[in-house]
Amino acid sequence: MGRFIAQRILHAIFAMFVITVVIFGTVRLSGDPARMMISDEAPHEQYLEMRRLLLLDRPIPEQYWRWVSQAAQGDFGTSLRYQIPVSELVSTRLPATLELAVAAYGFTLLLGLTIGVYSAAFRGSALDAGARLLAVMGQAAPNFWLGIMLVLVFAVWLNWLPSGGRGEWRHLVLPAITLGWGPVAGLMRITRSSMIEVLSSDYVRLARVKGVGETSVLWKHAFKNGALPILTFASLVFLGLIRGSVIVETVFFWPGIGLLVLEGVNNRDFQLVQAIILLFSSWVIFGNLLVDILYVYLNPKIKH
Amino acid sequence: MSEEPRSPNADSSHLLEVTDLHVEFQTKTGPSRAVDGVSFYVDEGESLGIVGESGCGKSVTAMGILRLIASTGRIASGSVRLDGEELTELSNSQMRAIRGKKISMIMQDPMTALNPTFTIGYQVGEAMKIHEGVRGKSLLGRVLQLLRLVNIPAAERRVRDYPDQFSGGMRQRIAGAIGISTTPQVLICDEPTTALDVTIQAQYLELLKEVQEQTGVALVFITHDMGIVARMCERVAVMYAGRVVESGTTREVFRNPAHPYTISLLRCLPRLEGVERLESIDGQPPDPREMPPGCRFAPRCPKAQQQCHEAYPEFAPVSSGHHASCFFPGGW
Ligand SMILES: Nc1ncnc2c1ncn2[C@@H]1O[C@H](COP(=O)(O)OP(=O)(O)O)[C@@H](O)[C@H]1O
Ligand code: SF4
Ligand SMILES: [Mg+2]
Repeated sequence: MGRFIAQRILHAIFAMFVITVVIFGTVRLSGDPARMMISDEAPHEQYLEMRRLLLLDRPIPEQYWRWVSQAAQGDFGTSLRYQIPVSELVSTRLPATLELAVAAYGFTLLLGLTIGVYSAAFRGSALDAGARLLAVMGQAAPNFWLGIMLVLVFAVWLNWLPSGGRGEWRHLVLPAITLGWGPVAGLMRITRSSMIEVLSSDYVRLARVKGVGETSVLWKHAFKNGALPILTFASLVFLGLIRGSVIVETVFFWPGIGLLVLEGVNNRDFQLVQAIILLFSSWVIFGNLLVDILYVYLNPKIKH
Repeated sequence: MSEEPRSPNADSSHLLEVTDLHVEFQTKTGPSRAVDGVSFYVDEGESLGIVGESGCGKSVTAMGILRLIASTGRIASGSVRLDGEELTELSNSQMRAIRGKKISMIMQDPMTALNPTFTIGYQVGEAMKIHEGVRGKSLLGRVLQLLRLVNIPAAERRVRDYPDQFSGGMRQRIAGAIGISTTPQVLICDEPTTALDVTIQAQYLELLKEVQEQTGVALVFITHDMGIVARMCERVAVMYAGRVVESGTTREVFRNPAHPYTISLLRCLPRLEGVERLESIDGQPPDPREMPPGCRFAPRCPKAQQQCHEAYPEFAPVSSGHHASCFFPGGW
């Protein structure tokens, strides 16, 4: 078990190295930030001065090393656009993104687990068929489209909920549903198939023989056994939600990291973009690492 | 009948009485009558053997009694009376209150019958918690008592262990402890020793007998092994293709078997000296979706005549308390 975890940690470190190189390279290849910072008529000396200021005149490996070692200490440089430290900018925007992701995740779990469990319990029923239809629809609809439709119906036509921005809970409803909708189908299907297998087992039958109530049979005896693949999938879903937040934040003008990175790209604010992509990537890599460790910890077969 | 006051054995002289039970499954290739008119009874302190080859409908009968047929199936007709109460007419919650309390079951495979994610202490105690409201220290005390009764060594330490930390024989004894935890009136044992080796099997049967002597529980003992019937049961019902084809006291059925299927099963028994060649019955029981029109055993019966393929033989008395459905009862 310790060996397995050590191996996973090494993988994660290696993945981080590759990611930093890729991010660094892509940003450098996509254009000259120094040129963007000054007007076209400015003299060549001013351009060189700007390059020096941004350390772009140093050898590439040195630039990379400075960036990585400073990032490791939480220093991501200064935003070219806002002229404040990137770390400060990110940390003011992070709570909004987390709030959205957590709300969306709650929506995904509630819907995905409940529908999954009950469509397994009532396999072949109208509920099961309806759930399958829902799953197909959920996966076919891209979330920007869903977001726009929700705004149209609930904000523009019915005028029940605001169409964008952040504030009270009402602002959170539409973006959370938009973001959380996509993975509902997947979670539902994993839950359903996992539960169907468990529900036909002898020990679930024995629970019924003992007179255990149906809710307890489903959520206690059966779910605990089906939970391993479900939990693994559910953790990956959360990682995915952070990524999906870029689009959803854009649709709803939700002032989180996603919106920030979009602004950064438009402004060629390369320090900012580098930092946020790095943040997203390390989130996914270390998230995966955590999922792996969780999986080992929960799986009695690996543990013993 | 529902207006009548419920008193023990109000309408029936037997503890458990199954009458003309039919269970039907919907399958892709049509309806399947897995249990097609089964009747038997069992009284307090008694053991009834239900014997037959695999696929004859024994487990489905047991699940029918408990009303735990898979969702693709249903009890099509028939009656199950327990202690004077008609189980087929109870609501789901009334039925839940009976399951695990008045009637319980031990399943065939000890490796799959216990939940891998709960401690055995929890699993042994659960029915007592549900039906008797026992909690905390006194629950633990009862669990330990049961585990000792079924000979689990170091019970105090092992209550917190998970099923995969026990051997097959121990797991089956734990399943037995669960079955008797609420001192039910009827305990259905569905081939509880099939997965065990011979010595452990003998110990297990002994244990069940002891429990029966102490509690007076009625045992419905499902098996395909006539040897176990001889050892455990006062009476026996032989099942073939979803029906009871012969029933009577074990002594009478063994001494004077009437149905050729029973005779064939008895010939599969090893003789005491263990030297004689074991016979087995050629062929297999019919698929419940394609039952032969006449006697269901006819395709495999050495005595079958034209008549046997055309009509089903009535379940008729052979001698006092001994019935069989065969046109030409007796050996060949
Ligand atoms: N859930 C089910 N759906 C369809 N057929 C079933 C189902 N369960 C059992 N059967 C059929 O019922 C018949 C009797 O099965 P069973 O009672 O398990 O036999 P056994 O006597 O070995 O316990 C078999 O032909 C089996 O295929
Ligand atoms: S009725 Fe005929 S076929 Fe059926 S068991 Fe008797 S002799 Fe055999
Ligand atoms: Mg069976």
